[in-house]
Amino acid sequence: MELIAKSNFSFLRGASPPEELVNRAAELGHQSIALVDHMGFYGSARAHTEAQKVGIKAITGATLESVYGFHQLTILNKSKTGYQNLSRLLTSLHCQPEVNVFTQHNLTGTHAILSPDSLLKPTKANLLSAANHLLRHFGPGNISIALFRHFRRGEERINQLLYDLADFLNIPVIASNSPTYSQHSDRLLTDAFTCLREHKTLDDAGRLLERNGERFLKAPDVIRNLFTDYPQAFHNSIALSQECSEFSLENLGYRFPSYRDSHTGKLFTENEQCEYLRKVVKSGLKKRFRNFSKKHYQQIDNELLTIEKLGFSGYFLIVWDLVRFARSQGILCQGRGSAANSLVCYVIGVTSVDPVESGLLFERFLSENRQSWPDIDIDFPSGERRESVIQYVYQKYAPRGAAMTANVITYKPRSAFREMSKILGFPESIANRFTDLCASPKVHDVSREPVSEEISMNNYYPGHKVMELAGTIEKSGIPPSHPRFKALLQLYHAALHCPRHLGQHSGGMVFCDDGLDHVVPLQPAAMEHRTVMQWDKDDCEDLGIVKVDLLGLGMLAAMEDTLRICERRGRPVNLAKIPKDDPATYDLLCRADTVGTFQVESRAQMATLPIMQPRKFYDLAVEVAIIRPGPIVGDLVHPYLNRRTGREDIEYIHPEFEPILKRTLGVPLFQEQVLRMAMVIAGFSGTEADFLRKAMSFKRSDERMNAIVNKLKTRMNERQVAPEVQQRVIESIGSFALYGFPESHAISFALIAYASCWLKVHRSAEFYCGLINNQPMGFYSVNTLTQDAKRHGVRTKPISVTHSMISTEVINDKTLRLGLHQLKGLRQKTRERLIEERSILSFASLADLLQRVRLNAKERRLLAASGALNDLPEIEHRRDALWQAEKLPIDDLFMHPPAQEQVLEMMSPSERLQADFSLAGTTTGPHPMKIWRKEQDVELTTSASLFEIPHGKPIVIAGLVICRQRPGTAKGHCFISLEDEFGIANLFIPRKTFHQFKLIITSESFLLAKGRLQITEGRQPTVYVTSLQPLGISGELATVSHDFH
Amino acid sequence: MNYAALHFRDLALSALLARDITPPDQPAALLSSGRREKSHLIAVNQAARKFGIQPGLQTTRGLARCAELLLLDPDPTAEKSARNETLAFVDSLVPDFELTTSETYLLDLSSLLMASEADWISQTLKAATYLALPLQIGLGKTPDLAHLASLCPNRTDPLKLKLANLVLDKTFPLPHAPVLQLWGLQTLADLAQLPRQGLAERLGKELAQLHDIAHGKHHRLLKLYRAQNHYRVTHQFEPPVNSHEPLLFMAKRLLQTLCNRLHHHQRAATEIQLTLAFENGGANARKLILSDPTLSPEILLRSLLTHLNTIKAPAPIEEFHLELIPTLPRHAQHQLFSRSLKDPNEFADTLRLLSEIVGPNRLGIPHQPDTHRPDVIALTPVTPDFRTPLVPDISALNHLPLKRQRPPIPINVASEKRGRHHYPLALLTGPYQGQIHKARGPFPLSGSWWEDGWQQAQWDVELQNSLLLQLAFLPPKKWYLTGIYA
Repeated sequence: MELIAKSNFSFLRGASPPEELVNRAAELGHQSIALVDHMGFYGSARAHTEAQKVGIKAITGATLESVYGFHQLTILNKSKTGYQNLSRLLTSLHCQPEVNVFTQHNLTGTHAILSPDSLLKPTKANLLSAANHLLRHFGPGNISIALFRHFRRGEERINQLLYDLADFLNIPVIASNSPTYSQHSDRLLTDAFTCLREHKTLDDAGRLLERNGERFLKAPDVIRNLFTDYPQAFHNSIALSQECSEFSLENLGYRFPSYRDSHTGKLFTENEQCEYLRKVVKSGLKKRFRNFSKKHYQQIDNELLTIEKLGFSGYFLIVWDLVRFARSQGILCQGRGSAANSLVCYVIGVTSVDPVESGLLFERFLSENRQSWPDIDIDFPSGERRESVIQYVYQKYAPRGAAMTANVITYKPRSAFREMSKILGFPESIANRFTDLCASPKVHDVSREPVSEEISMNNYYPGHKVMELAGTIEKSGIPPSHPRFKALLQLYHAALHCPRHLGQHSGGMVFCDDGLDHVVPLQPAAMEHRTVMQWDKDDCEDLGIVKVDLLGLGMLAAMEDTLRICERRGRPVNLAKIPKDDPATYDLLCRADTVGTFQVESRAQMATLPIMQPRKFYDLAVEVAIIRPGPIVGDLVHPYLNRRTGREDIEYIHPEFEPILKRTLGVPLFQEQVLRMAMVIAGFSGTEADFLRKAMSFKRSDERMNAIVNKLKTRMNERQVAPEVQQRVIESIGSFALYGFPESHAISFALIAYASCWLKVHRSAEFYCGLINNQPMGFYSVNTLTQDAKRHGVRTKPISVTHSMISTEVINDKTLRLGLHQLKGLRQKTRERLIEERSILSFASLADLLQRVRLNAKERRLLAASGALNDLPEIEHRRDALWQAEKLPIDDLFMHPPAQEQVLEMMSPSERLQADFSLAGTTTGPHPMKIWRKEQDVELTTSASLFEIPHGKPIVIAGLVICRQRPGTAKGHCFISLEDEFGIANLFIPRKTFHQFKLIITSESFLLAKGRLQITEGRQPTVYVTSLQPLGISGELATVSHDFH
Repeated sequence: MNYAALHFRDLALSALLARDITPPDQPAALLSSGRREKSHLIAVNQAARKFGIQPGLQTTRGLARCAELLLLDPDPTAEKSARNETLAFVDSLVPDFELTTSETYLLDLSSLLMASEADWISQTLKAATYLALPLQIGLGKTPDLAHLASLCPNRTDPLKLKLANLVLDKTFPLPHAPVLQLWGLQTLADLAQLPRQGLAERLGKELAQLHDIAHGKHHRLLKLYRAQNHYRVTHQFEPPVNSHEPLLFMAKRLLQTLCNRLHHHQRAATEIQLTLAFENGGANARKLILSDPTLSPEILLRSLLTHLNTIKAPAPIEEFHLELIPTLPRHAQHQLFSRSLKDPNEFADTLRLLSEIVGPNRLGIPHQPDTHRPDVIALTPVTPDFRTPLVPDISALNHLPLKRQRPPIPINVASEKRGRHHYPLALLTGPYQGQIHKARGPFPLSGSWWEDGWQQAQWDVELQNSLLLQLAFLPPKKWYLTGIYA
């Protein structure tokens, strides 16, 4: 019956997680606990879920600060109406802080508590006035006066004042300890948070800190004994908590919105929605299939029946509406995730995979056994186009009908250490050192650490938690003998994973017909025109709030551009109709010629493709799924490849798994397979399998996972499954718990991957153009893309003020023209003015351009040095342009233009290269390595000649670093992609060599590597590096490399 | 050539290498201040340049290029010492010279008789070998040309000077260095070849002036360096003295001289540094900070006397050094802003005397610090303007007057443990004994848990005779009488 508890979701005002407070309350014998977080219901959802588990009631409420003359005002919800009213009030306080909204809101169903913390100066007169205000606003019977006993001098005087006031106004008194932490020992973190809130160190905080550790959660008996002189206070508390317990978040009142007719604005009834969905599906079927099979027909019918039975017709219509809107705006989009298992989703255009053809099961997406809502994630082109869809949702459900889900930002090892060392008065340099010691690359010596721990570790400091942390702190400059060492260690552990602030989820949106602000308080997000709700996606899932993920994908943006250019050039492409068995596309995949494509362009993917030799679409889906941390850590990659190439026999862990694992040669690669394995081997029901699926994707804690694994073990024991089979089943689940990848998701991604490869083969110029226009995205820089384009016969012309548009353009099938957008430092309005002026009349001279476009000095130099002015008459070369552009023309009609003299020497090739890289990030001239090779008199191996050298031969190779990788799964080894004028060479740097040359690897852009050639599986040459040295080319020539991602 | 310039290249780094007798083939670099991981190299020696290491390079990249690179942190003391040595060296060469930059001296050679310029250069270089610092000498018909020549490694042709070097030298800043770089200009000769008018039209007067300098068309007067007047004197006693009188006598005379020097340079003394050297090899050094800058020998002598009265010499005084630290004199309009003290220096003397008597850090204005810990007092040093320390307002909630027991009196108390707290029942020892009639509390207090934590539980008790007392219980079992309520 504690009525005024604050959790660490009060952000720096409480020290214990809501779950911990609830658990402790149950342990102490409380029947209920009210969580009144600061300005919100941030922790209420978690408290509610936990309370359900431990069998007590979690009362919702909030503490308002600096509102209506109150320093702190606690408000509890007595009913659903009260909850909705308070939620709306909180939303208004966050979204309209400048308006006095308190008195304008109806607060029926809420209960206010006047406490010793309510006023900064709790004098008799102030308290009387405050109580009268509350009485007027909340009404008699909806106010209580709380008494605290924290063993502080002077508190009895305030208690007496409050008691007399209660007596005078006939208001009930209640007893509370107003805890901000669950255990006595948590007071330390409370003090630390106070310091962070007040921007002070512990030494300077003085009396801002707690004077004792009494503000913890106390047992009901203890509270009763504390208030023996006010026995009615205890009884009133119980009565009030019983009254407030009648409402819980189970009765939240959230309802997924009904579909609204886009013409009339009328909300559809359930029946109308069902009918309309059938209509949409029918018309979709005609569009998708010329002649659909009986199987398709039956599938559609089954799916529609299930959807109608579960009442999800409106949901499908709303998602369809979103997709329809996007398509109407020319925005490319595609559903991903388990939605690809649904034929309905396919025919209404949400997904692009025919599940019948791909053999995907609808039950994985939706079944009558599953209580939860379907999860549809949609990918949109990242950037403005996705934002326009998000804003469409905001407008459609305005006002306050939509919000992004929150993302709770917690203290991570580095931030926890930085903040805690700061408040303990340690200099910033200590925290900087700690950060560097824990910095990327995150992989440590795996010979000393079990791999599984390394991957699952939330903390990146080396080694085992406490022991190694102490070592790291010592290395950071604080010896264990330091008097504050222990405090730092303790505070670090206490603060780790505590919420720090609220961010927004990357794409999760929740919406509601009649105002989302009555379901959960909303607050403004950091981005303009966006609001965020106070709960994260897991809270939403726990409370049955449906979110739709509107995710951003850079490749979709690039592909959308590509398609637009194709259409403009009269070679339109319909992605839905491109052949799925195009030999040229599979040839490209087989030779790992995948720079710039989706999902299969990483170093690891490119190394696997020649072994995998994909020749059909499903191979590509497997390829997408297999190079993931889950299968790699679970050691599933090699068995699959070995079985595929016939070096290993196919076996199915257990004979019963054969139908499940046949498609993946006996290796469980997909989440669906793992679930079905659990159903077969342990007799899991559909609901249990769904729980397993949730546990695997639930990142918040390992608890759920442990529980389900234990259940699985028990079931397998009951069924007398052999221990080694049990072990392998559990290992498979463990791998997927880390990075699960459903089959439907892999197929959705494989579709985009295939489309990107197809475009690269058949619409090369347009494809490279789309990629360049949508940078930054993917693995490689613009320069690497233009070099790759050159190797594919597509040349890139330089930026020119007389020819270039703002974006990069396709001139013909073999030529691109770089756009003005590539120039770093040319303002958007300058680009637009330049194009506009040129469209009116071509520039007659440099003076003409300078007069009409009004460039600033920096822009004049930028254009001149990059060679963009070279096409103007009277400009001989870049330096000539620089000399001429430095002097502004005089606007005199009668002045005769002076004869231009050649004052400056023209740039050398290496100077031009340097200018290109530093100003445009790419060059259309020769590769830096070509120039270097010309200047040097040394014979080195080139990337092209690697294919002709026998295995084991010592070689020396040099090039530009375009990608450095040291993935967590690589046991400390490092991979580098080195580009020269002929192509890309792959370097493998063993762990020891990496440590020896770490500085050179991480800081130099051009490397000369010595080693021996290794011809790996799939006939791929890799240089096993034994030593490295910098090449001595200016670092300014380097473009951005993709490092350690 | 009328002018010569002596350029001690990378003096800050060279001074450290000379001090540590580092071999010349050892690659070395001077680091920028701040975190080493984020630092960059601000100077590198010739050996380091061979590895492609240039100033401005990140330290990590420097180490990547040469693992043996010796990284040195700046040492202002060594740098100052080296600078003084170079100053003395230049002073020995010519009477008239200019301290142009921290690394460069411009010498007027007009008063010198020399066989040939080459001889003079070789003699000078030979004479400078004892400094063990890299030296570049340049000659020129104008001061600036000589200076530019000295920055040029071949010492003769300033036009071969790399423009990039000028950026490092504050005398010839290049405001448009990035533009000149874009223009592909490498040396001063490249700049000199450009048309002056075109250059001025594009980049302004500064570049035109540099153009003039390069063509020897710009002449200026040297800002002659005159040795700084030191306000330091040393006096040796022969024989060593046993009392203060002879010392004070000499000090008075010398102070008068020093004050005259200060007056001449429009300065006043803000600090006296006195070092006494004793016959037994011992020494006593003391800085006496003056509250108010002064030029009065009497005031200075009085401060000295106060100090001397507080020390006991372990042996006869053999020698003393006296130095006045100069500052700008304080100007205040009389009567307009009246000071709280008429003679702050006299007051400072008194405080000094008191401090010597009571001990260091035991003199000041008491105030209650901002803490929950009861009865803690801190001292703020007294300033001559009696500025009261800024302390937060600590208003006690309990208004009943309390006579504090300092220090608290340890007592024995009969108590009973209820829950987490000990409840007092009777006072068994101490000045006030008897059964407790009423008790209010406990009021637990704790703090400083992050270092040397403290905790106690306070109690207000009433004895049978109506006496009100404040007790404190310090775990695990100590009781104290901390005060009596009036």
